[in-house]
Amino acid sequence: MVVALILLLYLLITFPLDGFLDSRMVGKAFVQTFSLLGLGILLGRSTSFFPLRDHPERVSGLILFSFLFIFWSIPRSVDVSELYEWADQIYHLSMFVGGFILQRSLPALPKLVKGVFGLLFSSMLTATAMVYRWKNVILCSTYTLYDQHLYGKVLLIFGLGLYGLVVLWIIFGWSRRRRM
Amino acid sequence: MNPRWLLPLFLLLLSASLLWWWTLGFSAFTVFSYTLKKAGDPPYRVPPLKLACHNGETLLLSQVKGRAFVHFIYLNCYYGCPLSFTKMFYLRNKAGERDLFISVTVDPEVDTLKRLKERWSALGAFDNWLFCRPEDRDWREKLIRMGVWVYKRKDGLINHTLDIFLVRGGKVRKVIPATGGVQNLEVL
Repeated sequence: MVVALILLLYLLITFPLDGFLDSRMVGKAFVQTFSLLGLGILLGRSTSFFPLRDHPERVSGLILFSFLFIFWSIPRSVDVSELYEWADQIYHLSMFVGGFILQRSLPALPKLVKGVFGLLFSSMLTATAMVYRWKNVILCSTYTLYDQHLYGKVLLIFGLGLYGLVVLWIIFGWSRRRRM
Repeated sequence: MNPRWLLPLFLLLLSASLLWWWTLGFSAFTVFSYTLKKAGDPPYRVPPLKLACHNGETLLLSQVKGRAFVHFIYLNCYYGCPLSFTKMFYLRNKAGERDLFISVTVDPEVDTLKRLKERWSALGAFDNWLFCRPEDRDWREKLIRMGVWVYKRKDGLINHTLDIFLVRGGKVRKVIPATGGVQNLEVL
């Protein structure tokens, strides 16, 4: 039932709502990306298929997730996904699968790895956001400079928020371990 | 080492290689820089782009005599084109009458020769500055071969390459990047 609902939401985001979300950069690169990642994570939590058995497999999962995320954050990839429908569908699937792989990999890894990965990922988001927010040159030819700056602003808030949460998680995890 | 760690190592190498290939060696992250890089390193051939100019003249960009500074604009542009015009002014003031300056519109459906002539007149009516529009049907492909990316949005806004191309003897000799100040223009 849950899996059917997740797949239904996936289809809703990638087909009927795609045109609406793609019309603004913040809709495509932020709302759509993180919704699909979230759906992938939910699918991972609600099912048990394709388990990753040991740390080498889990680290491979993290590398694959990072690659998919970085690839689709490159301005040229954003443009290609806007210009070609097939590329757009690959992008949707990549984010969904990326979320699923992340859920399979990260929770079972040691806390140190989780903390370092969280800091690196949120720093990467913040750095990307700063480029989009303050660069006065159009990076994605399919969007306007206003769109680009707005996307940068939203991503910056999200990236900094995530960074703060990771720092808090590390501090509280460390202090709890000391008390024990 | 546990041989199972070869899997993440292999994936890391594969991911880095794919990103390296996609960005032409981590040097082209946007469609603009990718198109320019794909055109080649200067000097490279100028495609035979046929241009109709405000003064009634028709010319082939690949057969322009002497040195020419070429940039791409459209008349309804309010983002980068005014800045590009400023740079062309700067270059023209330094070069004087020796060189040719060509502003090529990337919106030929809207920018008629009459409109181009009006803009030419408003910007000083210099004899060695031509305002032209592409005549070929495949002008977009030819511009891509020159390293120029043009994308027209549904709202009419056109995002395009703003670099200035120094052309001589049928070849692009230098590309003056759109970013940066006048220090990039010390090419004369």
